[in-house]
Amino acid sequence: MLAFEQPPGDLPPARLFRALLQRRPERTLAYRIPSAEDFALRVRALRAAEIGLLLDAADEGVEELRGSRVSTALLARVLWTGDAPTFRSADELGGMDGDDVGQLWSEALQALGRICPTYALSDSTAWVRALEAGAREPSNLHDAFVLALCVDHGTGAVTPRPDRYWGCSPAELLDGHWMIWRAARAVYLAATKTQ
Amino acid sequence: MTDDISPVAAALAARGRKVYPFIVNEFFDLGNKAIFAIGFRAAVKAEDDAAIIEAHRYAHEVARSAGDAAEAARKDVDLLTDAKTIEALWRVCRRVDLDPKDPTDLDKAKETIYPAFATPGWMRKTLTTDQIAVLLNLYIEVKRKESRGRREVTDEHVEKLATVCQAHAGDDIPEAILADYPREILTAVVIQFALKLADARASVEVLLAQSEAIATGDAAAQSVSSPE
Repeated sequence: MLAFEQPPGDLPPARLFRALLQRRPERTLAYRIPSAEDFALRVRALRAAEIGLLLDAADEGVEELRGSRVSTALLARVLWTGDAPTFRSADELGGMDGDDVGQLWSEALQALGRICPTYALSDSTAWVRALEAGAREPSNLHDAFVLALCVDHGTGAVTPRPDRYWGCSPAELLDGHWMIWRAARAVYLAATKTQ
Repeated sequence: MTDDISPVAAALAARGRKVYPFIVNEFFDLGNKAIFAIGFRAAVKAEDDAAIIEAHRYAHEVARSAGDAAEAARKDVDLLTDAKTIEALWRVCRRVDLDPKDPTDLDKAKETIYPAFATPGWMRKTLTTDQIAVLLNLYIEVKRKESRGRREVTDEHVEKLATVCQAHAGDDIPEAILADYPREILTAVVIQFALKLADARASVEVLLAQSEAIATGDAAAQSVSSPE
């Protein structure tokens, strides 16, 4: 899970901010599966609990194949073609050449590393710092401020409500949504403090 | 195409799998009924995984029936490795129909739906270690043919690999990454590392010579050692 650790150094912060601003961040893969080259592939970010469930399920069975079960289960969940999952189950990946599965796994991890930070697997401080730089970009300021203002004000307390920005249940938020909210909030507070 | 599987899985299922025939009659003279040729196809992921699972099952059975030697059998890596080899070979070795007029003409060989050997257990009981080794070598050859061009070892790839291995020299991340690499790709990577190391050593020698020349005021040596 190396790819999740640090924010991608080759992606400008402004673009990183916009990538995580999607309801379910996605990234298109340049890679095509041999013998299925007509199908374009995208990876879609998962919630930390969804990743955790896949890892838990992979614990059952022959220990030697745990890595294989993790990769095929995760690929079956994150890959999308058009408006449907690319594979209907992890078993379908069994029809691929083993080396091709390895290559697809590598490509998908690289892409996930750009759109799917999690508190469990990533250096969240580094991610929030990179996202703050992205939030300060003029092209992102509007969305950063709208996101930062998604809060409930109580007596002496401010409760984060990033779910309102995406119009979803709080349970559907990704870890990356929390990181981008914290970044936007920090930029908003710094900007309003100086005015 | 069926609705039960995704369009990508249907495309994979429809692609067909190339079977590479080899003449093996010199090695497989089984009870006066020689096997003249065997076809090999590259295993798909599900076959690789199934071979590993069945090998573990077999090794577990052997350990269970080993009596006093159960613990030793359970820890015997060779037992498991040999079982994996046989299980994998049983899945990739296919019976081929040959042209009766000229069985040596492999271009006319036709693949069948049948495995070349009855069961993995039959292979264990019947084939010699040398015969298994012949099958394994032929399969490695097939894998080499199939993987040609799939994974190119680019300079960028080698640089990334070097960075990750250096940063994680003390943990098991390099092992986890490299475990997936076929032997021929690992060989190519090690050669690239060796070339880079030789380049780095040569650069250091040039720099040392330049710095020594500067220290001693040897203008001739400076000009000789400088690429400019």
